[in-house]
Amino acid sequence: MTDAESYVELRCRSAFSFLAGASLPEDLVTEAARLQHDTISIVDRDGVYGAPRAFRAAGAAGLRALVGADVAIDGRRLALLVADHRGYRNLCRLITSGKLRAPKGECELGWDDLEEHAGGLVALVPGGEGAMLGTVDDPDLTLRLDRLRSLLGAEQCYVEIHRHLDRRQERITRRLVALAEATGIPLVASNDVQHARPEDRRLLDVFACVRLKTTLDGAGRRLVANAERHLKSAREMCALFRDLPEAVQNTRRVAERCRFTLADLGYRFPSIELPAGRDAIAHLQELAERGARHRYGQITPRIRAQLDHEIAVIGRLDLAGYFLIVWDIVEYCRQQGILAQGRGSAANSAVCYALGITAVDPVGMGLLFERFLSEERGEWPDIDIDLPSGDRREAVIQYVYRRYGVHGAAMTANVVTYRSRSAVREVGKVLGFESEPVARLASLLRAFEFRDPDDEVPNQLVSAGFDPSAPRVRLLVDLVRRMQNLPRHLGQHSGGMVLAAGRLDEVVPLEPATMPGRVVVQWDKDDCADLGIIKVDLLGLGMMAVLEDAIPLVREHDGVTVDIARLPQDDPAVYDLLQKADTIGVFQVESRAQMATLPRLKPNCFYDLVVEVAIIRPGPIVGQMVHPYLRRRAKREPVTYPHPSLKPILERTLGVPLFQEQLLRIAMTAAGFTGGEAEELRRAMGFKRSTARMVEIEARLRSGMTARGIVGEAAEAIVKGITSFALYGFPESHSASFALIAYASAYLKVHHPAAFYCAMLNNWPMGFYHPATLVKDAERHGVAVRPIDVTCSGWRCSIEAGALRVGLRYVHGLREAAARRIETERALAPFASLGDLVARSLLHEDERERLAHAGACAAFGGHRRDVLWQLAALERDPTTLFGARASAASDMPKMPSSLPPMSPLEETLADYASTGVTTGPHVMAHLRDRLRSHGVLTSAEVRNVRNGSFVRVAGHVIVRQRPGTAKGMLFLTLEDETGTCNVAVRPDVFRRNRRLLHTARLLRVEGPIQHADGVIHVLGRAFEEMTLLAGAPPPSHDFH
Amino acid sequence: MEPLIFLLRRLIECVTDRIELHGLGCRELELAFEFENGGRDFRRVGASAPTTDHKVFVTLVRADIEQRPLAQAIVKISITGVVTRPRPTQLDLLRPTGPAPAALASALARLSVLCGPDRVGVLRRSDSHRPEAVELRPFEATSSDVRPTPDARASAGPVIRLALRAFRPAVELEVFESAGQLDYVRGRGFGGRVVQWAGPWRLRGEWWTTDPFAREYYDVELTDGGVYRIFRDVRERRWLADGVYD
Repeated sequence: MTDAESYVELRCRSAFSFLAGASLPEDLVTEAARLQHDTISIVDRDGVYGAPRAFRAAGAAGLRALVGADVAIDGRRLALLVADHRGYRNLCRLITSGKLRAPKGECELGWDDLEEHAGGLVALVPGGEGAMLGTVDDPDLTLRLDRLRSLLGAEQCYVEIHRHLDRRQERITRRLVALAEATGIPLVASNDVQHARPEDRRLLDVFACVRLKTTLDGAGRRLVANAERHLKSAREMCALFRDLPEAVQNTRRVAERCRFTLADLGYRFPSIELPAGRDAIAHLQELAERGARHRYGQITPRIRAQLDHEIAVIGRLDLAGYFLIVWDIVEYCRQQGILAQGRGSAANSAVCYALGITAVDPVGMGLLFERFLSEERGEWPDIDIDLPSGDRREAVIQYVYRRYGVHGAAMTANVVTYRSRSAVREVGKVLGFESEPVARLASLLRAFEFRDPDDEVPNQLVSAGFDPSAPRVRLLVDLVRRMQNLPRHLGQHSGGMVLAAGRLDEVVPLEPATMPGRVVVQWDKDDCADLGIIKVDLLGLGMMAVLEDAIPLVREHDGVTVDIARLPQDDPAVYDLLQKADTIGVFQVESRAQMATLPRLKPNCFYDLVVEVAIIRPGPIVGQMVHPYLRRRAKREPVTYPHPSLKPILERTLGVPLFQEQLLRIAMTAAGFTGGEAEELRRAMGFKRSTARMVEIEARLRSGMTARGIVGEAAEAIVKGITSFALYGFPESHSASFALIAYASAYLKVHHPAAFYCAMLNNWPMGFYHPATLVKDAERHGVAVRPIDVTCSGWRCSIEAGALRVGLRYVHGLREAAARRIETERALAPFASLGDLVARSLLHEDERERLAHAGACAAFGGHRRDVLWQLAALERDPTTLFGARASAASDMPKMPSSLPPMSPLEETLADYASTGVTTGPHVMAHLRDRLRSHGVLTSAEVRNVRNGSFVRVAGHVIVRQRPGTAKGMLFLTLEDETGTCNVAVRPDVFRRNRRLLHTARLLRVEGPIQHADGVIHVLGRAFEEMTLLAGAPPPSHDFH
Repeated sequence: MEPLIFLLRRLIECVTDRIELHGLGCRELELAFEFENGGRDFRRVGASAPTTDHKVFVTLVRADIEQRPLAQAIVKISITGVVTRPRPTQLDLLRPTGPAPAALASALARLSVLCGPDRVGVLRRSDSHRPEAVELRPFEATSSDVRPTPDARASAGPVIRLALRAFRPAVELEVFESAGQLDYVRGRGFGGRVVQWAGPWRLRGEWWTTDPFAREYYDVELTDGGVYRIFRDVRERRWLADGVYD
């Protein structure tokens, strides 16, 4: 092997070194393949974040990806490469130790840690600023090298040299060469790669500035001196080290010693304790039997056959342990009284239903087990469990940590990447632009789901006040484009937990999450899935928390015990609410698009709700299934089937395929596929399409249909339906699980509105609407909503005599501890006066003012400004002589203020500013007289206007949405004191009014009315922003 | 201008007199102006050495206002003096004493008026990879007698350093290459065949400005006996001599 053939790049830092590398692992692998390297080593800072992606990409490109990390021992950096499996375990544990003892984002390691975890690692010891061997005048350099050699062994240490054509670096290199000669430690060359191609150096500089919190102009020599830290060919590297050929040859020796790859992680799934003498599958079978008897009462032959089939498949796939672990978690929830419900394809399983993991009867609904699990697929099943968000979900997560140990369980990571807006902010700052135009540009780049050329940075420059021809502005555009999709930092996945038998920290490094008590792995859910690490999703669902909170409120205040699992599924009042689209706050059917479909679909049974949940999804919309289904439902077109054999499959959905299970059954019936093959077909046609795979599977589909006599138009229709629908279809089981929750929430809204809205407000943020909208919706449903009052409000919202009392949690800036103290003191004795409140509640000065501004002290008399005046007059420090007197100061004379009271509009705006909600009049009610004089109608009045009439409406913009499937249309929801009104804006009109439509909070709209099947829209043609001098209502909820 | 300076002189004198009464020096004045239209202007004027001589500050303030005139009619002026304790300095028996700090401050203030405040100061090397980059920093009357301590000298070790006599501006060169190797160099006043060379050392930076640089530096020993640092300006495709090693 020649020198040029022997060179291996042993040190590549990817963008997963977070602001210290500028290329994705995949880009580094692609460039390495282009340069004809056969091996690449990704060595990220303090972790193996990029290793799975490099491993995947390297596998596809025919390269070998070595694993390693760049770590600092006592603040001095070196690279540790993994030689064997023991080394990988040690590296993971070493990084975990350093991470778990340091603040988030940092890693603190000492020599003792390295000593403990030295086995199986190869150290590349570099020189330079901050590196293990320091700079030329470092007196302790030999000492540190000797220590490393004694810890790792002489064979495991290499002095690493770089040549970036930098004069100062060359002095260090010469010193290192002399040191290597003197100590007998071999040299190894590397290019310390930090970006794939030379042109990526610009991004490296930008990241350096972000990391150093400076601008490019101010960074000076803290930036690299040239663009030489890119991947170079072996020939180039040999030329650079032509005087030190052994340094090049040693790269191959190191690579050959590092035999470990991620193909063998040594991961094992944990098992739970089994009853004596029973194996996992027998135990699972027994539990499923017991559960099925409880669920079904009588086990019919059909149920028996399904259970037996599923148990047999689970047994053959050796997955009983996985089901038992999920059952164990659900069982814990049941014991603790925590609502838990499996979602997703798990609801296709009768075993999951029997075990209590899911709530939908798959046998009764005719769901297809193979959508969940099949022998052909050879993958782990995916069971997601919905839990009430907040403390109860946290309790379940902590149970899992306790059950499997701190080192046996962790959350999966979520890699937060740069998007247009974040990239504009960072690059704008680094290039030294004024903050105001940069913020303006970022605000114009609202990432709606639908994107057109106007959404790109270059097209918004002029609006934001930039000159697009200026060189720095052109740079901004280029850098923002390059920065997008690069990792920004590591977050925590919303609910994915990974478990391991033994130590998870020997499989992947763990690190602390921002949230106390949480530990995350360094990989995201896709990385974990690719490497065969099993994940259980414990997802927090706000609506589950609402249901759980509402049940005791209903019991206490309405005297009714509600059992969510046994609600009557034929309640006419519930279907009446759904048909009228009165669904603000109702799970899954409260979006603008759902509300526009409900009056057309007119659900009148539970299965209609299952359809409704599934139908407003990209699949049915893009596949043009929605309108045929609605027309057939309204009997405007006949129900037909592509082939008579498909009638039993499509009959329930009037001949229109809406669910993934139907697609699978079509393939099974029409082409004779097995369940597993059908699922394989769905995946082949899904998001990660492979053309070769699609062609192969389509040929099988056609030949299967031909064998069954399905040819010509019918065959074409089936193929077309499957290929277009597979991409976006929605599982019926998932829809059914969500429909159960949707029904329960609608039931509570209809029959127990006070408890429903109270629980909604206590669990916000959740759902589509701001609390301000929920409060007004509650009032429209006859719930009296009372304002925040320090003499009776608790931290949470509550119900008093059938009315909803807004809780202190809505006062912005009030600490929960302070509110709890108010509750405690009030329970001891009511507050006699403002002075009494101040003295006993020990509120901070700004908290007192916020309470006064919110009108929460109105019970003591005086208007808000008067109360603020009184508070200012009170002694601020309650521990002083005068402060102590204030505690008994109910008799203190009031300090008269000559301040005028707030006007009603000012009070409403003060409510919004200090609490986000108002229990007084809606902001639009204050403007009504003026609006009426301009011919502006209310939302209620618009409903009575003839189709096509030209109207003016105005309201608070509560929702903005530009769906990807609506060809650039923008939809707004305006709210006024009478309800909500939908506005649709055509793309050309949106373009002309872009800034206004992006930012205005109060909007006046003119345009014609469009009526269709009870759904009313104003087609916006002209717009005007209404501004209020004293403040503004809350911002809209924009859908991205 | 003059009426404003008349007013400012009186105010500055009050401030410096008060500072002097406390036995302190003033190193900087903070001036805040409020305008008729509600606008504000805030500026700092610093002396090179602490002083209580109001004339120094009046001169500096005049120069500053001439440089950046106030845009509106002034309704309010506020002046704050930033004080510092006078620092005792041990003079050297063998070296001449420098000018008194107050006199120096006064001289610099006058220079500022003559040349403009942005053209008086000390040239320092900028924090840049570009070797010739310099910037003008405010003059500070600090002791120039900063010698390395014995310990610092010991830790530096027996490092042999070459001194480079830099050419500023860099000298245009003709460089002839043969088979991709440097062969002959000819500049104004020097030149010869290349005996040996080292390099290239690459410098590329300031890519975000309108004047980025991309250079390849070489150290060349010529047959004239000199060792020169030369570079190729990659963007402008020309050769220049950066200096000669002594």
